[in-house]
Amino acid sequence: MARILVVDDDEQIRTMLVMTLEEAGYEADEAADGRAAIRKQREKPADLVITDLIMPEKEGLETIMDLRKEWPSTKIIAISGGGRAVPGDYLLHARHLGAARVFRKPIERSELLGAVRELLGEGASLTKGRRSV
Amino acid sequence: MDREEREPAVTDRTGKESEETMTGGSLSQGDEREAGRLCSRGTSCDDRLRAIFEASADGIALLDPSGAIVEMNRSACRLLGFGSPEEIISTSPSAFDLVVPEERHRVIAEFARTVRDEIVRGVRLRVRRRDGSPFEAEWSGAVQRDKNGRKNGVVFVFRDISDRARAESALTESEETYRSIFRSANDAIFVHDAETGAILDVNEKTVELFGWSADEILALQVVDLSSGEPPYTQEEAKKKVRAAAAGEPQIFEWRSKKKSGEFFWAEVNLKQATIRGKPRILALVRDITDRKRSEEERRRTERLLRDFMDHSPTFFWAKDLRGRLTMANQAVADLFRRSPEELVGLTARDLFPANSKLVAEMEEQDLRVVETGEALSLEESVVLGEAGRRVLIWKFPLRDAEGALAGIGAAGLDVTEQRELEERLRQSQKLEAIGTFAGGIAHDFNNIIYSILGFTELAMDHTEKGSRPFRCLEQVREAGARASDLVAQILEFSRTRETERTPLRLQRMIHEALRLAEGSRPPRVEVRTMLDPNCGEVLADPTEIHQVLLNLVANAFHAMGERGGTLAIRLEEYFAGGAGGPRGAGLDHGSYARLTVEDTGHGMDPSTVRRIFEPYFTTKGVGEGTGLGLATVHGIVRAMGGAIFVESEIGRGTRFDVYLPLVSDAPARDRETANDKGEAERGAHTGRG
Repeated sequence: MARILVVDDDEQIRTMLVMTLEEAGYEADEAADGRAAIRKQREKPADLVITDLIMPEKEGLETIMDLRKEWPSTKIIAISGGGRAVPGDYLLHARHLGAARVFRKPIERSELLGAVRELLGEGASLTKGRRSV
Repeated sequence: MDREEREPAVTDRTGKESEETMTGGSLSQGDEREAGRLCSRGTSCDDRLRAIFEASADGIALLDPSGAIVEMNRSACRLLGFGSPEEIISTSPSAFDLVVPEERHRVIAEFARTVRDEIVRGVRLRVRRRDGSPFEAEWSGAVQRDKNGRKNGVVFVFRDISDRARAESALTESEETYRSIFRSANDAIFVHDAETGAILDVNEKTVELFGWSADEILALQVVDLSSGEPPYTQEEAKKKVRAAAAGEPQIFEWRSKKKSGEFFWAEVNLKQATIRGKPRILALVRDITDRKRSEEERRRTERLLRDFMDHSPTFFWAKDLRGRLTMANQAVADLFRRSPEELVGLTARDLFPANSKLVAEMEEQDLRVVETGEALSLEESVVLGEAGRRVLIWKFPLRDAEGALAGIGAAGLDVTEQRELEERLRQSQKLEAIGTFAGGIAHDFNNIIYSILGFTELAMDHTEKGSRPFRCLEQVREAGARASDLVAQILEFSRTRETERTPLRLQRMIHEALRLAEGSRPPRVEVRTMLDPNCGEVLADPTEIHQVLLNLVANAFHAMGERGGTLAIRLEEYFAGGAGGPRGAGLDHGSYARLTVEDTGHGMDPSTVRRIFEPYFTTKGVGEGTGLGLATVHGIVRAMGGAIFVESEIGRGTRFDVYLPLVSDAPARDRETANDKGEAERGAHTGRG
């Protein structure tokens, strides 16, 4: 069973995403910031990391860089709430740094799960509904 | 003095001469008597002579060589105030006693001269009457000889010439007076021949003023004393002299010349005069160099003041104490569409007939200045026609040379544009703040909405489809989606979304947008497009341009509605040449595509126009619009380095002008962010926050 790590400082988002992923049949874990995410990853590496971009302690972009360095095979999906605090450029940067997909919150469940399946090599039609930013 | 000094000598000489004469004559007393009666008894004197003697109106006296009176006629008695010759002879045996004492020596001298010269005529001296009163007498004398040819007496004929003497003395006196005026006058005075204009006489002042001697001037012509440049020529001078000679006094200014060649301004006064019976022209010439200079100085100062006043955008005016304008500059005149001269004499009541409240306020202010004598500064709203102007006014007391209050002066600065700009800046700052706020909370909102939506879907997974709880959860999901759209729109307004800009031809975009909007076009609305095919490309995100166009078109359709009207869309290039952009709000220097969307709909009042770009501000009814349309348009245009302006009038329609930089002139991205201050000054409808 593929393992997915959800990184977000918003507890409700974390809980919701973990539940969503579990119900879709994945093993999901959560971390409240980048530092905790790296720690969890060292304990038990995930196949896919879904990370928010603006977080205390360790920032999203930095987390992506560290993940790409240490676990090059781990896939990354970056998500962000946007707004003034999160300029659109952030998602582009995340993409350049190695996030395989980037999404703006809120995200359609089907889109998110589609991307997850695609990245985990589960072979669904993955281009449909992709939201390119 | 002279006379007194010489008196003794004269007396001596006279005595001597008399002595000689008497030696020569040697008449005895008896002979004298005889000689005195020569006329009556002598062969040489007949009755005719006696008749003449008695009838003569002149006094006739016969004296012996010593001056003693021998005989006198009646006229002599009368002139001297005596009753008879005997009376005279008994009172004053010597004729010399009959003259006033001061002239005694002279009469003796004249008597001696008569004896010596045989005859004298026209001698004047002062004679005393019996009562002592003097009178001016003129006499002639001739020597009398006896039959042997010896001088034996003198006959004197005399008359009273007091009247003539008085007249003569008065004449002399007045001539002397005139002469002294002529000499001492502070004006140069020329006496001209009335016919030829020749200079006949000049006074001392003329010599002083022109630097020539009097003799030199008499040899000159007027032109020699003039600049000689027309009209200060000989011919012109003659013309003036002739006019004066014809009885029309002439006063004029003349460019005169001194001997040194120096020119000066003179005021000349020509008058006709008769001098010693001859027609003359008197020319009074006054040096007015100083007066001329101070006049010029005054005119120069006035001109300078006038120039400053008329070229100043500041209003300047002055009123008298009765509130009537005494002066107004060009700026004031332009405001009232009249000339400055036409305004003089008018009152506030005349200028603002429809605004009695304003007039009352102005009168009250004037009164305050008059009562306190102090300056006053205030801002007042002056309503002219349909456009109200806000004017900052200073009023101050005007005083005359003695310091007494003479009127009220005022200066006014039109601050209408400034106040509008300030208002726009406030609006702009407000939009900015709203944008910042919206962008700031959007992130958190998205998280919240995402949680709501995510959990709702999870819950729905565990709910029987179509059941009541399922339908409730569907509503929650629907509400969450709407909230999500709203946040997206807020983010659009605050411009944080990444866009993909490519060079675009607006002509094509406009046609596309109109095709898209066709479905919502009210049936009686006509659409006209005037798109310059040569208008260049702009760097833009096509989605954004669609959004701008669709919003503006939708608003126009809405404004015209069932009533119908015309929607005009124009596109052309516009060059902003520096500080001045449309309506005073500066666009950056450069070329722009100007997109104009104009409708003939219901229009908006000024307060609506002011708030039109605010998010959530809407004139539409509930459910008709989000209130974010124009705020979004505004955000997009600002982000592109462009500007949007709106003009509207109730009942006539609304016009939006959108300026988007042409590709070649598209502002660099870094400038957009580095130029915050400049953008704030550009006002509400330009720049990027």
